[in-house]
Amino acid sequence: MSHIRLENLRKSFGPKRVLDGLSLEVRSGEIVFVIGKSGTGKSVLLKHIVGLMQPDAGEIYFEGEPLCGKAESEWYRIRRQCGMVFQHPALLDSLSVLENVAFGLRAHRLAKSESELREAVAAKLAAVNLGADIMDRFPPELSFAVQKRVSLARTLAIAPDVLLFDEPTTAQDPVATRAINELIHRLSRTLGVSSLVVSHDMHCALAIADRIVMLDGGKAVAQGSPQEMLESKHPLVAGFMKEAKERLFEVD
Amino acid sequence: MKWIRELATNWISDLGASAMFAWESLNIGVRRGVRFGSLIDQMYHVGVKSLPTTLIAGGFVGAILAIQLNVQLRDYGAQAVLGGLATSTTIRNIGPVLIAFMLSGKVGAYTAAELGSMRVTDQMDAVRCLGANPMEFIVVPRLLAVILSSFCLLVIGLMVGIAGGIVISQLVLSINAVEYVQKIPRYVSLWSVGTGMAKSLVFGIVIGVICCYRGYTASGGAAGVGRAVRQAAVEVLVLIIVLDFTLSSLSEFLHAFLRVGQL
Repeated sequence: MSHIRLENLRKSFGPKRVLDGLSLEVRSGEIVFVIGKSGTGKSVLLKHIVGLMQPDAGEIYFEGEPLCGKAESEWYRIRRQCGMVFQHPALLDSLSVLENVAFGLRAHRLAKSESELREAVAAKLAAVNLGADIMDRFPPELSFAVQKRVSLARTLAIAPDVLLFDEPTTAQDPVATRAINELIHRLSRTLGVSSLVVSHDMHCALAIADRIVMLDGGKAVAQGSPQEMLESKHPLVAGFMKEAKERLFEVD
Repeated sequence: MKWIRELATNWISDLGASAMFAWESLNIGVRRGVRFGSLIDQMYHVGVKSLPTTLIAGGFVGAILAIQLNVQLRDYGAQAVLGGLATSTTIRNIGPVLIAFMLSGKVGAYTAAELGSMRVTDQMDAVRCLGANPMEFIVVPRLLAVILSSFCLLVIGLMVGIAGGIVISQLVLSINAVEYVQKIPRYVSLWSVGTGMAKSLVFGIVIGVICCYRGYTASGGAAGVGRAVRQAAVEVLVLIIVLDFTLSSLSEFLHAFLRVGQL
């Protein structure tokens, strides 16, 4: 069963066409990586799925339910099930780490008591390789990489069925990158959480993706398993894979 | 003429959008309730932290009015009525306007800039992506906090303004404080106090609604936040002047109408 299905999605900003008939499917429990050059509409694609942008044409289905044209009030239910981690941390500066991660828990009354709430926050922070000692600190006191992981913990706290990631491992150290990759993989395999990951990190894509989709000119120009993409003859895919293999070679 | 028409159209359009924003906030506040913890937190940030500035501004407003009116009254040998006139002017007109101007900079600009920054750094969208309405969780507590804080600060500012007039008269103008205070009831009726309170409430609403609306709808990065704060400041200042005139006229008209009615 497909969690998310995009059909012939089109979006233009003035004369620039960003999405040009894009069709894509994310099945239940699947990890799909979307790769492509900068400015090919990868982040725009994610914003359409959570209703932060409306397409000019096409349709988006979430668990078979068409989403386009829904009122803002109806989107809150969808977003509760379809969490998004932004490219920038987007933490609420005036709230502590505890309050940021607990935001969704409080909003949806998912914790019965304050102690349960603190435990839930500590567990989510641990899942992204962060200690409970940062709970009382404020976002401006943290590095960009730590803020991003707090942002991921905040999204995980509402236990969505689908996770949308916009460059989750950018600016992360290798240990944190591995932790995030393992987390995405574990959520998929143990809880059946589907993940749609926009990334430039080919190593992550090759390591944990079930399917990789190459976006170019607003369309999906190639897709397949990591092995299929490694063997692809498509010039753009081959270029990305060659670069990934070279970097792998340098490290080895 | 064309630019005047465009300017007027834009102003009316912006006022309409602000009114819709206020209506939506009210609707959400009534239907979903107000986040009490967030409201208290915001009242501390915008209200309590603005108290020292308000006390200084209020005290000096009263003192300035007392000195200025004393210059006029001295020529006619009517300094005995200084207490009544200075207090009446402080409560009914100059006090609310000047203190509201100060609060629009202190409380209003802070709120517009904070909400604007949250908007342009995706914080509002992040809240939406958690399945929560930013109007309910971010805007309504701030809007209510700004309105309540502004009203309370205006009332405190007016009281301090009266005290400022008394102190300056005693210390600088050599007018006995008791004499000054004794003249107040003769010139300051309950109606005057009511007018001052009504103006304080309306100015508080104006500061809250315009600044929250401009911040919430900011776009275009840091420059967009700057633009939002500037627009909020200009609109609040102009509206306060216009509403001061309107409310003063309305107060006079109603007062006269009710007195005729009693006769």
